[in-house]
Amino acid sequence: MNGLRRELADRGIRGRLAARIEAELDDHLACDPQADIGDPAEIAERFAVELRVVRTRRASIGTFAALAVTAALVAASAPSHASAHAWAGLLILACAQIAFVAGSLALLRALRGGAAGDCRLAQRRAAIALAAGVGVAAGLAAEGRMLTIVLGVGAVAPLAAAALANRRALQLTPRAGARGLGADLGPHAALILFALGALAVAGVVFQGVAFEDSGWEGIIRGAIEAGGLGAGVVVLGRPLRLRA
Amino acid sequence: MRAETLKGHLDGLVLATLANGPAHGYAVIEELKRRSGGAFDLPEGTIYPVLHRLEAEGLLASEWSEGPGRRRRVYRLTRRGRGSLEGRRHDWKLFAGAIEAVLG
Repeated sequence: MNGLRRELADRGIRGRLAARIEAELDDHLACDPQADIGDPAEIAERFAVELRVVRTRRASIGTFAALAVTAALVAASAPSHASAHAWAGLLILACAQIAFVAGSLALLRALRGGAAGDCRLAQRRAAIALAAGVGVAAGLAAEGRMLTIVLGVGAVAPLAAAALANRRALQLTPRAGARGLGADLGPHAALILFALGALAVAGVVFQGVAFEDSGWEGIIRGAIEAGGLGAGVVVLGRPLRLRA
Repeated sequence: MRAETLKGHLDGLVLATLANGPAHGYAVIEELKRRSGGAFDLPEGTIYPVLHRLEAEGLLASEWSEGPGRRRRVYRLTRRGRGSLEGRRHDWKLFAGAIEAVLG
C-alpha cells in the first residue's frame, strides 16, 4: 500500500481516518496476501467520493440547524426589542434573508445531488449562509443591550461548529462545475424564484401598512425590500448559482 | 460481476451480509462471494469505502478488535441499519415480483 497515505491526504483524508483505512487494508492483505487491492490513487478516490456526499449532507443539515438556532435567538431578543442602532436592525434583516435563502438552497442541493460539482455548490451555499448567520449574530450583538450581546455571542458556537463540518466536507471535494438552479427547483426555477421574491416584497408592504398604519410606509419598505433582493441576486447570484 | 452492475443494490447486500452478526471487511467480501455462489466477487477497493459511508450514515457501527497479532475493524448493523435492511428487502420483493410478473 505504498503511497496510499499520500493519496488519501491529497484528497483531504488525514489523521485517524487515514490511519484506520490503512490498517483495514493491511488486515485485508494479511487475510489474503494475494488480494489485488488496486491502485492507491483509485482507492483514495473511492473513499473520497463515498464520504464527500455524506459529509456534505451532514454539513448542510448542520448549517440549517445552526441558522435555526440563530433565528430562535433573534426571536428571543424580540420581546424587548427597541433597536438602539437602525443599521443593526437592517443588518439582521438583510443577513437573515440571505442566510435563509442560501441555507435552504444548500440543503436542497446536498440532498438532491451527489456529483462533486453539486457537493461543491452545496458547500459554497452553506458557507455563504453561515457568513450571513454571523452577520445576524453581529447585528444582534451590535444592538448593545446585555441580552442581545449574550444572544449574539451565543449564536456563534453553533455557526462555528457547522462551519467546521462544512470545511471537512470541502476538503474531500475537488473543484467541478455544478448544475444550475433547475436542479434544485425544477424547470420553472426562475419563475419560482421571482414568485418567492414578490411574496417577500408583498409581505413587507403588508407589514408596513398593517403595523405602521401608513400606505406610504408600506410602499417605501416594499421598495427597499425589492431593491435589496435585486442587489442580492446581482452580488450573490453567481456564487449561489441563482443565475448562470 | 462488476460493481457498477450492482449500483443501487450494493448497500443492501452489504447490510444483509452483516445481518447475522458482526464481521470485518474481509469477511464481508467473502460472505458476499459465498452467498452469491461466486457471482459477487467484488474488488476489495469497492467494499471498504461503502462500509465507511454506511457507518457515516449511521447504518453501521464499528470498533477495533484485537486479532492474532493485529487489530481489525469489525462492523455491525445498528438499529437504523436493521430497519433500512428490512425496507430494502421489502422494496426488492415488490420490484422482483413486478419484474417476474411482466417477464413471465
